[in-house]
Amino acid sequence: MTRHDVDRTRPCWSCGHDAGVGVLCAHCQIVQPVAEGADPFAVFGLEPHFDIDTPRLERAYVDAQRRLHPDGFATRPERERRLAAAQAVAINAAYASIKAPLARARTLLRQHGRDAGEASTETIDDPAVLMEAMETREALAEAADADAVADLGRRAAEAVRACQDRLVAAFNTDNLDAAARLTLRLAYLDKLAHEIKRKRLALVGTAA
Amino acid sequence: MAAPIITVSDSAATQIRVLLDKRGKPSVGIRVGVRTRGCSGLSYTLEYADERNEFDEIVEDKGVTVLIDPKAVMFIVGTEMDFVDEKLTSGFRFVNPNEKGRCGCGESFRV
Amino acid sequence: MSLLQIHEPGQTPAPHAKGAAVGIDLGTTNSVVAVAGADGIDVIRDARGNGLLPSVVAYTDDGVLVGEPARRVLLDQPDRVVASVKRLMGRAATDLATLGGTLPYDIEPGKAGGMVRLRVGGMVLSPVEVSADILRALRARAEAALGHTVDRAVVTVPAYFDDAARAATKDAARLAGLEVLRLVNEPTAAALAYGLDKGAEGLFAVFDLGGGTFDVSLLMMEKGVFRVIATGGDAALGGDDFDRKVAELFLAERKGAVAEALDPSDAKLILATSRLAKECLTWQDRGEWAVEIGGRMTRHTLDTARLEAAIGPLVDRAIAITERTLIEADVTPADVAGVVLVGGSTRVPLVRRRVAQLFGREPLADINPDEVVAVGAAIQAELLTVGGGALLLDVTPLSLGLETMGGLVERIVERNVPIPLAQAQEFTTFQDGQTAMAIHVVQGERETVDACRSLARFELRGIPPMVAGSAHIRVTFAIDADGLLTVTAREQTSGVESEVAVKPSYGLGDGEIERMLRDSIVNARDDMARRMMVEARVDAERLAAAVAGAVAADGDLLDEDERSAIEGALVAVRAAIAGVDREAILVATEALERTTAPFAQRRMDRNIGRALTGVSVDRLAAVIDTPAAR
Repeated sequence: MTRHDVDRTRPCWSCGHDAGVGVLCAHCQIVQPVAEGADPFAVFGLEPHFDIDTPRLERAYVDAQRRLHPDGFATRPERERRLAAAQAVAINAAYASIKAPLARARTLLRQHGRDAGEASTETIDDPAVLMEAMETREALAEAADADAVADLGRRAAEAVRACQDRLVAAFNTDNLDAAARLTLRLAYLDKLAHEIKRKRLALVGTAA
Repeated sequence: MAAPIITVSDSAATQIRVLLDKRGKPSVGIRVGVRTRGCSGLSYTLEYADERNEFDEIVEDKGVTVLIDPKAVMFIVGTEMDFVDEKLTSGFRFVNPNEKGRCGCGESFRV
Repeated sequence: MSLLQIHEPGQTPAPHAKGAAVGIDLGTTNSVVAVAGADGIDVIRDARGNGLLPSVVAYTDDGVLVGEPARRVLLDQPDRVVASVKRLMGRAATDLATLGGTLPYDIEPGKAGGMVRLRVGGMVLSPVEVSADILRALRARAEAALGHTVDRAVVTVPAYFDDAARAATKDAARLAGLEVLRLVNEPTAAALAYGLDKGAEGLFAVFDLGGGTFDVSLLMMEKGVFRVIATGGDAALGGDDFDRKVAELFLAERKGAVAEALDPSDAKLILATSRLAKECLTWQDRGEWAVEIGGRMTRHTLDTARLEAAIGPLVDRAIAITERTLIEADVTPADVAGVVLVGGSTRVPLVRRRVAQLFGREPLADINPDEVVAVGAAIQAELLTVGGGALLLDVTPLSLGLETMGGLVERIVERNVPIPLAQAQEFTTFQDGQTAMAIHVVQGERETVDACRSLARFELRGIPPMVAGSAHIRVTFAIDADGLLTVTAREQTSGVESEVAVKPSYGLGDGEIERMLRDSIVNARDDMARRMMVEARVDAERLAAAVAGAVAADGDLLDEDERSAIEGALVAVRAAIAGVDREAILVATEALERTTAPFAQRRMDRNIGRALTGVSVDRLAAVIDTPAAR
C-alpha cells in the first residue's frame, strides 16, 4: 500500500459496514464509488516506479476490468451499474496515466510535485538537442520512400529506449532534476516518433 | 430416517458458504424453488433465505442449510446439488436422474 | 448455460420472463438473428432454412414486407422498396454516393441538414423507422422460433460507425420494442465467435467487408479476454460500391447514351442486376446480363478481369486501411496469428487474394462470414444476461474533438483508446459577464472541422457573470461501452451546474423518437396480439405432447371413459392449434388440463412412490400443486 490510500475507509452505501479501501466493499463485495485522487500505480498493485513490470500491469489491468467492466453488471440494479461504469472509466484513466513511458514519467513527476512539462511552457534549450531535432526533421522531410522512413523510425526507437534507460536511473536515484529534463526529451522523441508514423501512414498505398 | 431429499456436493457446499458469507446479512440458508413457465414448463429458482417457511423441507448437508419449497420437492427429489466452475461460466445445477427433457435454453426442464 | 446462480429473495430473474436476449446483426444487405441455446449458438432460420433476412423493406398497400418478399416487390414497384438503408443511418443526403448523379433512394427534398428522410410508398420515413421495420421482422422470426417474447438484444454496428449512426441504430431498436443490452462492434463480435467457438488465441486481424461498410480490427485474444488493440475502416465502403462500379460499366456500354436520365427506381433495378452479376462471378468466369431503362433493353457481358479492374481501386482502399491500422498498432503482418474474414463481400475472390497477399497466409472463413457476427452478438447477449468468464475490451474507433478558432479541431479523445472513458476539459469565458458559450463537438481524424463529422452543437448556459477568464467550466465527455457520447458541464468556482443543450447534428431529436413510438403503438398492439397467440399455441403444443407421452407411459392408470375423454380433449387442442384464434386455443387447453388432472395426480403418486421410500407420500402429495406442468 502506498501513501495515497492509507486511512481511507468509508461505510458501504449498500450494507453499511466498513467498506475498506478497495473498489468492492470489504464486507458485502458490492461495488463502491470511485475514490478521487487514487494513486494509479496502487490501482494495479504496483509501487510508484518508472521501471514497472509491464506484464504485471497488463495482468492487473485485465483483472480489474474483469471485475468492473459494465458488461459484468448488465443485470444489476441501476446504481451498481453506474458505479461499476465509473470504476471502469477510472481504471482506464489510471491505466492510461502509467502505461506509456512518457505518461508514466509525467505521472511520477506530478506525484513528486514537479511540473511535468505538459503545458509546453518549458522549452528545450540544449543546443545539441536542438541541432539533432532539426537534422532529424530535415531527414524526415527528405525521406521519399517507405524504407527510408522505416530506417528513421528504427533510429528514433533506439533513441527512445536510450532515453528511457536514463530515466530509470534518474528516478531510481531520486534525481528529479535529471528526470524532469529527460522527460522533456522523451516528450520530444515521442513527438518525433509520432511524426515518423504519420509519414509512414501517408506513404501507404502510394507505392502500389 | 429416510434418504435425504437432496444431497449437496462438496463444491456446492463450499460455494454456498462463500456466497452466504459475502452476502453480509444473516441468512438461514438458501432456498430452492420451482416456477412454472420457461419453455418446457418449469424452472428452478435459487435464492438466499431470510427465514424458514412453515412447509419448507429442510436439508442440512456438509454444513449448509438448504430449504426446499414444498412445490419443488417433487422435482428435485433424489438429485445432487452441484457447483460447476468452468472456463467461461460457473453456477449451480441439480444432477437429476429423473430429468427427461431439457429445453434449448437450459433454464427449464420437464419431469 | 444451464447453471443457476443464487439470488436475493424474490429477485430470481424469470427465465425468458423478460424474453431471451438475442444477438442481431443488422446488416446493409442481410440481417441475421441468433440466440444461445443449450448446445451453443443457433442462428434462427426461416422455414426454408435460410438464416439471412435480406435488409430490404417494401411499403405496399397490403402492409410492410421485409426480406425476400420485399425484394420481389422491387421488380414491379421499385418506388415502394428501400434497400441498403444502413448506409443512411445518421447521414445527410450530401454524404451519399450516387450512380451517375442519381441515388438509389428517393430523398425527401427541402430538408437542409440532419439525417435524410426517404419518400417511399407515399410516406416520408427516416432511416431509423425503416431499420426498425427490419428489426421487427427479426424479432418476429425469433419469437416464432423460440415461442416466447423477445425484447432484449445485443445489436452489432460497424466498428467505424460514428456516434450519430450508433445512436440511430439504438433508436431503431427502441422503436422495434427491443432494449439494447449493448451495441457491439461487428469485428469484435466476429472475434468473440472465433475465440469462443474455435478457441482462437493470439493476435488476430478481423477483415470485415460487408454490403456497405468496411472494418478492420486487431484483437489480442487470450484466455477468454478479447482486447481490441486498434480498429480502422470506412463506413461507406462495401459490396454496394462494387455493385455501383459494375452498374457504371453497364451504363457506359449503352450506346447512344446522351447521358440517360435515371430516376431512383432505375438506379435500384440496375444496381440489383449488377449485384447479381458480381455474385455470379464468384463461381463462374463470365456471364451476360440485361439492363432495361426507359423501355430500351441492352445486353452486357462481364468477366472476372473486367470486374476486378472495376473494383480493384475499392479493394486497394480496404487493403491500404488495413496496412495503416497495422502501422498504428505497431505490428507487422507477420505478428498476426490469424486473419478472420467477415461479411459477404469477402466472398469476392479478388478480396480474398489481396488479404492473403498482405498477411502472407490464407485467411480463416470456417464460420460462415454472413452469420459469424450474429453468432458473436448472441454470445455477448448470453454473457450479459446469464454471465460467463469472457471479457470484451473495445476501443474508440474515431477521435473526438472540439471546434476551436479558425475552424480547427482540438482533440480531446484519441482513437484506439479503451472504453468506457471520460475526459474532462476546462473552458473559460473570454468576455466580462459572459453567461453562455457555444461548443461544437466533432468526430474524425482530420485537422479541420469541415473534414470531420459534426456530432453535436451545444450551448453552456447559466454561467454566472464574471470577469473574463475567471469562470472555470469543466465539460466532461464520456464514452460508454456502447461507444456513445454524453456531455455534462459544471462551473467549478460557483458550483453552478451549467445547462447542456445538445443538438445532435444527424440524430433524431427526442421529440421525434417519442412521436415515432406513439405511431408504432398501433403496430405494437398487433404485434402483441400475435405474440400472445404464438405463446398460447406453444403452450398448447407442449401440453398436448406431454399428455400424449403420459398416456403412452402410464395408460394403465386410466379406465376406458377417462381415456376417450382425454383423447377427445387432445383432438380439440390440436384443432385449435391449427387455427389462429388465441381464445379457442386457451379454452381447449384448459379443457384438456381439467380432463387430465386426476390422471396427473395418480401419475405423481406413482412416481413419488417409486422415487421415495420411507417418506410419507401423503404428506408430499398434499402440498404439490396439480397439474404439475401449469
